[in-house]
Amino acid sequence: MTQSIDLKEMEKKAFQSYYEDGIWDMFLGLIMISVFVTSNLFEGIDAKLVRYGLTGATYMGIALFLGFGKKYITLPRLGSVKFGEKRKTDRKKNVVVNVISLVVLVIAILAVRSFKNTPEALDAMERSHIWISIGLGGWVAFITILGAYFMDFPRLYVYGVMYGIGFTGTMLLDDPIVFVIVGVFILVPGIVIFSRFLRDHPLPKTDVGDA
Amino acid sequence: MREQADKKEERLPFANFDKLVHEPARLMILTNLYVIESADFTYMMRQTGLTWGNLSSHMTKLEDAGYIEVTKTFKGKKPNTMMQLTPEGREAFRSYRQQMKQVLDDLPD
Repeated sequence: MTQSIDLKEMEKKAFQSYYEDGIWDMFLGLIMISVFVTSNLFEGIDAKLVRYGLTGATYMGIALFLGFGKKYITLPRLGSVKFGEKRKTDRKKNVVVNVISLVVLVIAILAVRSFKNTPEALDAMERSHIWISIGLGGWVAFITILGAYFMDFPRLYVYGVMYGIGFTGTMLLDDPIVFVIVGVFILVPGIVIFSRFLRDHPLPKTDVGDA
Repeated sequence: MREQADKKEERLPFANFDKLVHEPARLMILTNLYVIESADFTYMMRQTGLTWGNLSSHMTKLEDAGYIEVTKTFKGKKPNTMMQLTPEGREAFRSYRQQMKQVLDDLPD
């Protein structure tokens, strides 16, 4: 009886075990890669409607992968659990932060679009290109790292920094291939974690839903 | 007689432990349920390492004592059993934890 039981640590381990399926990692990697795909490969398509449709379908497909992956792969293997009030509150805070950041991003894009055709604005943007790139990358990294804190997802801190590098690097080098590189760096470990998860957590043999 | 009973209690501090909670497998079940709101069978089997039959048997004892509440539903066509601690179960676990801490803290080094 020398080992003390830390209940908080026990709850934290149980909570974080749901990130050990690699599905979030694959999702985040695919999102990065799809930014390159949608902004480059689809650019050649003349019909705007088709272009936007394909872009939307790509992101929706990746979101569905996350949802269905969790529902049909992770939960049958790990089981369903409802964690305490604190986790629910943190999840709500995360949603609020993401909504606010999305709103801020949309406002910023609209503002840039409406002013960018003036010579003064174009001149200012060219002069402060580096700072805009660092600012955008920093903002993306900050939001992702905040998400890591609320989600209690340790690897997301690293991915947040990588996301920031992806955005900054793409703007500075003017080459979206940086998105692919960052995406692959997140996706590949995700695939490894996923395959390890499938090996270590086979589906329960008996029908354990009924006791 | 009362003096004898008091002395006996002094010599056997473990005698007052809730035996339902004190059993290792049930203690594991209650500890896992204490830190969450509710969980299904698969989760509890994974966390405790108990077999299906073992878990089911201990669950029944805890449910009969009113320490856990078991809800059986369906997820599509598959039956799903969720369990959670009742307020009495949480109180029983807290008391056990406090008693155990006290007894172990009072032991000489």
